[in-house]
Amino acid sequence: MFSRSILSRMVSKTTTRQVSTITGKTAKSVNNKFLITGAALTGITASGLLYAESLTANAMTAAEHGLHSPEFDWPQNGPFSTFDHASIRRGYQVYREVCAACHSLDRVAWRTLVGVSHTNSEVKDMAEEFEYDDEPDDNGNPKKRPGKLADYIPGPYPNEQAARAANQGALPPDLSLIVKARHGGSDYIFSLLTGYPEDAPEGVTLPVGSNYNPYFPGGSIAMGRVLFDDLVEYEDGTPATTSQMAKDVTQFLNWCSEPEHDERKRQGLKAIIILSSLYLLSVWVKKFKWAGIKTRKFTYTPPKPRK
Amino acid sequence: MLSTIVDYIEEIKDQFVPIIAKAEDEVEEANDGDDDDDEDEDEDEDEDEEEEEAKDQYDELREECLQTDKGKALKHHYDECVARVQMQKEQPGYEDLENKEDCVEEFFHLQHYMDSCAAPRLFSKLK
Repeated sequence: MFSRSILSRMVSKTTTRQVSTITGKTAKSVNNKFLITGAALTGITASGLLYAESLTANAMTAAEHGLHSPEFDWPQNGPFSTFDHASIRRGYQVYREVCAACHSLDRVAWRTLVGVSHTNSEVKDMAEEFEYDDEPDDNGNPKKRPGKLADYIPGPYPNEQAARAANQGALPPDLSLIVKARHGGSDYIFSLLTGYPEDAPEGVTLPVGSNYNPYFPGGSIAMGRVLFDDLVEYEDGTPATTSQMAKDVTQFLNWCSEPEHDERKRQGLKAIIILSSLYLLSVWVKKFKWAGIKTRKFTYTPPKPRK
Repeated sequence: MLSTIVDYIEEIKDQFVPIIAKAEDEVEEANDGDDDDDEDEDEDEDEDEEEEEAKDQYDELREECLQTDKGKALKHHYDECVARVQMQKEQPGYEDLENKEDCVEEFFHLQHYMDSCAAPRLFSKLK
């Protein structure tokens, strides 16, 4: 609206200028005041038309950008804070039981879970539940083998076409880097998961097979609400409310995107301690290195004037 | 053309006239048909609370936020918009309208307020 009024002002200015040059050439035969009124009328008409146009224009709306997600108190928010690893463990359970039906986790290997959320033997058992391609036997027939720690977590679909075919043409994104790949990060993922309203706002028409979510840019998302209270049963007895599951799975996905997170903060702290003490040491050493130079004294003894 | 200019003047008027005062004037007529529905919804919610023991913490906080003065005002704006759009829908020729109103903006304002009110308190209630 603002830019449009500026535009219309510019339009009216240029018309005035053009017209005034013409009058200059035609020997000022036309009354100047009449022209100015004409230009002003043109300007008003133009801004009226532009405003009428802006009423039906459907661009740069709030709906198009999606609702901005609020900030939550994530366990890893502080400069020295780490992920909540119990939450990562619960989050993996939510991913496995809920999200893994549609979403892959291509870039995460089983071995990375060891020591983060599960023990070595637990992860081995989890990997062995899946079948992977093995080397062919002596007759060249393809073989299968149970998974091992070095394998990557298998996705639900063999390829993109299969994924689209199973989801009415929509591709469920790979979740390995999803927290880094979305504006708002964890806050956005959490808001998206918990933010499905019961009904779309009045007057919104959704394409067939899509759902309304205010946080998703455009509002119409192919994924429906998936998290409901008591959908999973946590092994540590945590009440599985919708927001608890959303928090855990978001924490897990944040770890998938930034598996180096905890170590990075530890290394950063070490680096700050070592570098700052080395710096102070160098300041202290500099005192001695420069001592000779700083205490040097130049004297000038002028020659005695001749008589 | 004339109607757009009238709309424009209306919009300028809206800029200066306090919105909340205007909303209060229209409370009665807008809520005439909705009163019954609202009561029904309240009853449903009460029943749900009795049935489920562990209720979602985020939903609880959002409901709390909805009961604040600002939450009520925004909800009222949204309800007003819903009533308006439903009225438009009932009128003939709605399908052919070039520009159909929706309540996304009102919904966003309400949701944004509830988020900013509930989000800072949520994670202390989760494990």
